[in-house]
Amino acid sequence: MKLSLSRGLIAASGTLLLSAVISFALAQAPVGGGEGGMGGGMAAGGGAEGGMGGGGGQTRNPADQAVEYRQALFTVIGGNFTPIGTVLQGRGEFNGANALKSAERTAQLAAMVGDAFPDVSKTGANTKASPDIWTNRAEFDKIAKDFADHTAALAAVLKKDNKTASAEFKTAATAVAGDCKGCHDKFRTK
Amino acid sequence: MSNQQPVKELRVWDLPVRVFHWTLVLAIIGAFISNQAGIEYFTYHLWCGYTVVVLVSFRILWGVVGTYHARFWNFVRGPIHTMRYGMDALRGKDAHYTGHNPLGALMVLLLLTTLLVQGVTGLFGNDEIINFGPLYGYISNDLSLKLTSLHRNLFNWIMGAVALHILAVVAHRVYKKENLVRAMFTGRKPAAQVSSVVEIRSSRIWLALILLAAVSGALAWLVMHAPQPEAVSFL
Repeated sequence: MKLSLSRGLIAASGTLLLSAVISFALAQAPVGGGEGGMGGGMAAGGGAEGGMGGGGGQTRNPADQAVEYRQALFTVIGGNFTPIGTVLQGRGEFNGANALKSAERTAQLAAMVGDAFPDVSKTGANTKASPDIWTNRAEFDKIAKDFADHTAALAAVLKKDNKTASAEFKTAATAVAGDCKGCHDKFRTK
Repeated sequence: MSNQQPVKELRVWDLPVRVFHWTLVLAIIGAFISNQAGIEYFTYHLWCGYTVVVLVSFRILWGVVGTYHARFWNFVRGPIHTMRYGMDALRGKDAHYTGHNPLGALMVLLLLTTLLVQGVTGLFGNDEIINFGPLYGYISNDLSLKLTSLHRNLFNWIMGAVALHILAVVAHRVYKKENLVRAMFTGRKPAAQVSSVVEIRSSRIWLALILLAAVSGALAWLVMHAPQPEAVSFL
């Protein structure tokens, strides 16, 4: 019994150690095609600078310029949508004026997303954009258009009534967040 | 199911092991569905994740202090023993094991390990949209994104392991005439497949409940003390 207890402890700690090693090793390894620096940093935590490593002071090629541009775009979208996101998640207070401002800005920025993926950016370094975007352009454009439409609809809802976090507001905002996830799941490398 | 005499059966899997197994199945299915369902179902995904982390942590402890067949020492075998078993199995002459056989033991370790990693990486992750794992505040955003990436990729490997696990259970049914699914529900196996020496006497329910409470409490403490991510306002 005593022996079996100690052997059991060894097996258990071995399992724990193995999981720790796997997490560490995999976390260190560049996953999904070696893009070390993360792009957009959409959510509050940011991390935008991480994605800017490509240039290195030299003249940037068009692909890298495009990647930098769109990562900046997504960073700004994230910075503006986050206040609405925190309300959706119950972490933040609803402030009508701020929500309207957030939504209007997000809508303006969302309209730029489709154009932020020009063909030339296919080969950009330091991106998590999936090559599928350019082989499946129609579907990508449809998602980008949904995103633009849903953000515009959210702004319209708030313009009509931004006194409270109404059910209509929540539905509209959830649709926008769902567009983000839908596109990330489909067109962003993991 | 059976039209002959009731077969004499002996107890192998304790109640905690069985509840652990099927709750884990439900939690994994729930985690998958709540992720697919949409971004607004994240809370459910989170609760499924807590469940997986608590269950797997419990099972690892149970592998030390649980009943006979639950203890790692009583079913994890060395590489030579395991390989010999594997070769025998391929030739169709492998022995019956009362608890986990040596290859099954490897699957237990693989699933426990990967599911623990999957659960813990989820707790530290963030979706770069609106959702944060509850432990996000303990680490840097960069590391969180790496762990999230791991969380997304490891899922496919876990599905592969689960598929293999299910195939092995089917193979036991077809080739060895062992109904492992039924045994995982009833905890009992036909006496012909069990040496009575290693029948378990009790499920040690109270010990299991204490462990479960301790693991849940530890996780709850970590979650409640996690620093909250602060969003800078640009409005």
